[in-house]
Amino acid sequence: MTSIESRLTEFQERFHALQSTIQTVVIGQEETVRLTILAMVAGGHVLLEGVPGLGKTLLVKSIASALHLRFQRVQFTPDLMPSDILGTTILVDDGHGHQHFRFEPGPVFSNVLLGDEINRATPKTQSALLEAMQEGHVTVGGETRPLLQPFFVLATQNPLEMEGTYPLPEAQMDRFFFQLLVPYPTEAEFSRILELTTSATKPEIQPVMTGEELLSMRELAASMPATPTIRDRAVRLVMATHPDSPHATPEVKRYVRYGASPRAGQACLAAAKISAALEGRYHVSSQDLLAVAHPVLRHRMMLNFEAQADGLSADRILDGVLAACRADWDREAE
Amino acid sequence: MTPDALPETRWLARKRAAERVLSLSLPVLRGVAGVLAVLLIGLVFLNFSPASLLIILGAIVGVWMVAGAILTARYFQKLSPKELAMRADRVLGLPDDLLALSEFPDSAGEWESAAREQARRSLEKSHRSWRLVVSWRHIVHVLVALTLTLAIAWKAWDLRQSELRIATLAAQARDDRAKEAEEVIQDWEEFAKITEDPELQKLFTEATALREAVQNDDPMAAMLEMNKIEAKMTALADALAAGSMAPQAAQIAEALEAFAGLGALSASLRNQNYAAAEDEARTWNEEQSKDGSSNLRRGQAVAEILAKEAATARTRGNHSLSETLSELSQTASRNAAKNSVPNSEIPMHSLQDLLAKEAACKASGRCLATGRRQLENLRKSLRGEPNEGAPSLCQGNRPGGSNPGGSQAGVGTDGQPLGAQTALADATQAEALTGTAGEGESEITTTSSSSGSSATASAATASQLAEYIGLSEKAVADESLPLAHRQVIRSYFERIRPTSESKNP
Repeated sequence: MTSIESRLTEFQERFHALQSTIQTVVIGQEETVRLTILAMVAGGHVLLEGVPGLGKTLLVKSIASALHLRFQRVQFTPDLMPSDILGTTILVDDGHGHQHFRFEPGPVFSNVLLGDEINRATPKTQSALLEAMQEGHVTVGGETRPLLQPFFVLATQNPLEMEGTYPLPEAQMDRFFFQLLVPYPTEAEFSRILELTTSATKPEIQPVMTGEELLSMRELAASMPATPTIRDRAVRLVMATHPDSPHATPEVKRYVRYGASPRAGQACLAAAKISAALEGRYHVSSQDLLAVAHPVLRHRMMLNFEAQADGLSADRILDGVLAACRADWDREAE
Repeated sequence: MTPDALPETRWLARKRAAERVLSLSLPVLRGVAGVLAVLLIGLVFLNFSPASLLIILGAIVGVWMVAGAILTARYFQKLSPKELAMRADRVLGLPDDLLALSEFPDSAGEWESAAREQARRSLEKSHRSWRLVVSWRHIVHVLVALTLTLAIAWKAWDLRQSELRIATLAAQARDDRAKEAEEVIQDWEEFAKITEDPELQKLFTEATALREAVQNDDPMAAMLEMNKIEAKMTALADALAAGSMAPQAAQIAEALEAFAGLGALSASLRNQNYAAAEDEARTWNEEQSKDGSSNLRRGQAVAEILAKEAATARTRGNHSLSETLSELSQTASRNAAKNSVPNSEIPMHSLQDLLAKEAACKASGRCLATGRRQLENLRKSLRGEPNEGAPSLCQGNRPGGSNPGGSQAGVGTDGQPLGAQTALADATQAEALTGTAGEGESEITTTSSSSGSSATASAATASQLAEYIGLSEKAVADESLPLAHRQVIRSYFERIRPTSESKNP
């Protein structure tokens, strides 16, 4: 076995170990768990969207517990201030008559930040995360402070209660690597959830992975080569979401106001590499691109009013985009 | 990418090339079938020369060769590694394994090695499952193209056979024409020997150019030569018509009827039977006493008629006729009062000479008419049109045997107008053929029997003879005929009555 083969095997084992550990607490939701871990390996942030009670917060807490990482939780409310997240400088008396300013870091200075119900905070507060999510550091009081690495924001939001919420701005949405829709559990899963959560003993999660291991996994996935054709196809996929692109489907032209940004292409390829590694391949395939397209692109496409009036979701439009891409690629192979 | 960038490159390339050939074969076969269909339609609806048929056969071979060349070129057309890899991934169900191998950057290093090994294992697992499928559409296309090819080949072969048949028939027709022309020319040459008319002799001797043209199978030259001959014939006929007394024969006959003893001559003249009229004139000259006289009725009126006809003849340029009629007119005028004219004053010798000349002119006219009919028939032959058979100058216009009722009628009279003789059966039986000959109303019956047996033919002849005798007696006894005509008819039947030596009625 060559070095790369052994490293890839180790990658898969760690990934599956982490997923298995989380799944001891989070019943069902395999795809959500898998994609969340995948985003974390890729260094991306995840926006979990689902109705209350589906275990979004539990999932994030479980992930944090399974990693030897520092975890912080912020419950976003309308009166939450940016300093509540980033931290603030306070005047401290050292007991000897001397006073000085000291920076008191906020919860953003952690490895895993859970932003619960992120859409309940004002845009001002939501924007406090922009620099942290993209740059990996924050600027407070004129001083730029680096965050811990790895750093992930796992945010949740409730799509039903729109009263008193502030929809995330496009720039903020674009920072999220994935947007995952948390599905309702099946009956069997529901039953198992009841069994676990209503008994006297509750399962506990032991950490199975360190931050360094996670970074090494990210490094391995990033080193996987992507061929020019695959890169072109990723570009083609992202461009197909733009209504003025020649690759756009009729639905995109009719219902999409703005397409996905180049950051979507980066996310798509990065996620596809990890997906390929998980499949045991040494290169990225077109199937990998298609497999991660929905969570990468769904929150980056801005639909117009006509789409909302017709009850169309981004996922449905993406289905058409992916089918068109698949057909094009099949034609190239004829 | 190096040639060996993909595992089993050659096998993959062969498969892909075969697949491309199979894919291209459908439009190529459609094109072949289209071209062949056009050729077939052309063969069915257009006429092609033998050279064109060769071109068509060449076109068939060419179309198939072009199709083969296109498919061969397609097979050997260079494949890009990317195209080959993408197709192989698709067919073998590999998730872009080969495509990645074809495009790995040089820096891929360990990744490429691992991917290559993985692709090799995947190919092994696929058990070379790249199958080439020949669909029913391929089979139908091939069958259609082959069917059209066979149809064109068969049609071309059939046309070639037709060409050969037509060539044979054309050669036969050419020989027939040459033979027919030769018969006509020989007939003319023979006639030139026996005719007494120097103009006809000269005309029918000068047909050598026509013979050469026909023998050289040069229809155009033959046509031109025939035009020349016909022009000469027309000129000759015009000259004969100018000197003929035929336009005035009825009036002259009416005037001569007034002279007693010239009734038969008058009747013959009215019928334009100049030979008979000449005979009557000769008989009159021999039998009538020069010292006698003949009764003359309506002498003054006759004199006027004759004077008028003399003037007409002078106007037409026939001076000898004019002089004779003037003399006769003066004789009638002088003796009108006494209703009798001395025989010595009647210029019967001059009239006899004129009648003899007119008889000869009429014979010459018939010869010319026959010659023109021969020319017309020859023209039809050259044009490939059917003709009614060439009349014979020698047999139809033999001196002394051409008049209606002549005793020399026989097989081939007037150019075998009844067609060729019926082939005789081997059995001893009579063959009789009856028809109307020439321009007259005479009836000719040809009776023959197979060789070596004359008994049956004799019996048929006896039967015809009995019929002839009854017919002649009935004709003579016909009271509706004028007396003068009865004499002529009786004379006619007596002349043509067969003797004991002649069995031909």
